[in-house]
Amino acid sequence: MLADLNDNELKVATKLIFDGLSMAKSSMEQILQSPISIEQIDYVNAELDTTRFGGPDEDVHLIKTELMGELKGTSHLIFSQKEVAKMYEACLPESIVKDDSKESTIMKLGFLTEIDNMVSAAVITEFSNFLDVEIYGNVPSLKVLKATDLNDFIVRESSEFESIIHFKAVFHGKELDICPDFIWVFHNKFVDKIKNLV
Amino acid sequence: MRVLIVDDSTYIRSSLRSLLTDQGYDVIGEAKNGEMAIDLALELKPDVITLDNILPDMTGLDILKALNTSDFKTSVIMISAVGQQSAIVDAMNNGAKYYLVKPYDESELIGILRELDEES
Repeated sequence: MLADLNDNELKVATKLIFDGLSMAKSSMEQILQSPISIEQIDYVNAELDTTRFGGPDEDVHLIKTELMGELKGTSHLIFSQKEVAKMYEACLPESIVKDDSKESTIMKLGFLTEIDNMVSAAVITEFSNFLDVEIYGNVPSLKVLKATDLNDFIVRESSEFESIIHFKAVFHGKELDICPDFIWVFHNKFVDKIKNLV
Repeated sequence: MRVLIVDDSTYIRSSLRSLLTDQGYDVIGEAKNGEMAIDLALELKPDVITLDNILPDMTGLDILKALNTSDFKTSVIMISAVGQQSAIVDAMNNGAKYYLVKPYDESELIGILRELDEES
């Protein structure tokens, strides 16, 4: 846990996480061609406020990237159904947005996973360069689930690791009116790497 | 100029195909995994390959190593979200001519293709 770090180590860890999330924010801005800010970072509590999704039965799009290499973990980028529709409108050709064919659906879902691919890779790159570890993100996968099931899903995912580090960011795209959540779960080796570094 | 696109994402392959075709380049093939990429590269002998780094069956580096023989003259542009220095250095040391980190500006890719066009 991050609580295992002393003040100096904690400063390094939180700065690294902030820098990684800042890179992710920049990547998201570039992909969506719209300003994005980091509204909130939580280094302890990974529980999501699911009220923003509009109701327990609303669909939520969760894109997961598994970390491969020297550090184990997963990232989850989470959009509401409405946010997904807004991004499609803003970034994809009308011919694809308005078409429900199999081909267009593949393109839309591919667009979502590509956002996650670039955003999570921005964090991974920052961590890899700073901690001098060989890590990379696996091919992202998309899961659509109900808002009410979201926190249980994250908890189940986290239980794969014996001891875990959580951190969570809420991005805000004012023009697009989106507030995606971005949650990371790391194995405790992250803490060891920070300790070795400081 | 004849281009082979290698990426596991249908969205990326399609976007790249549109971009390159609009710019007058001839997209002669697409591969969604490493095995297909190596087969098509050897069979079609493209002038340029745009190569993703993380594919379901192997990495871009594995593909570069498989193709990195003296008689393989294709220019490889790595296009990947993997942006760490070590990955870029490894790719360049194993035959990649350029490395673009996603998200990148489309004009950067077109600029590189024009440069390669002038060289050939």
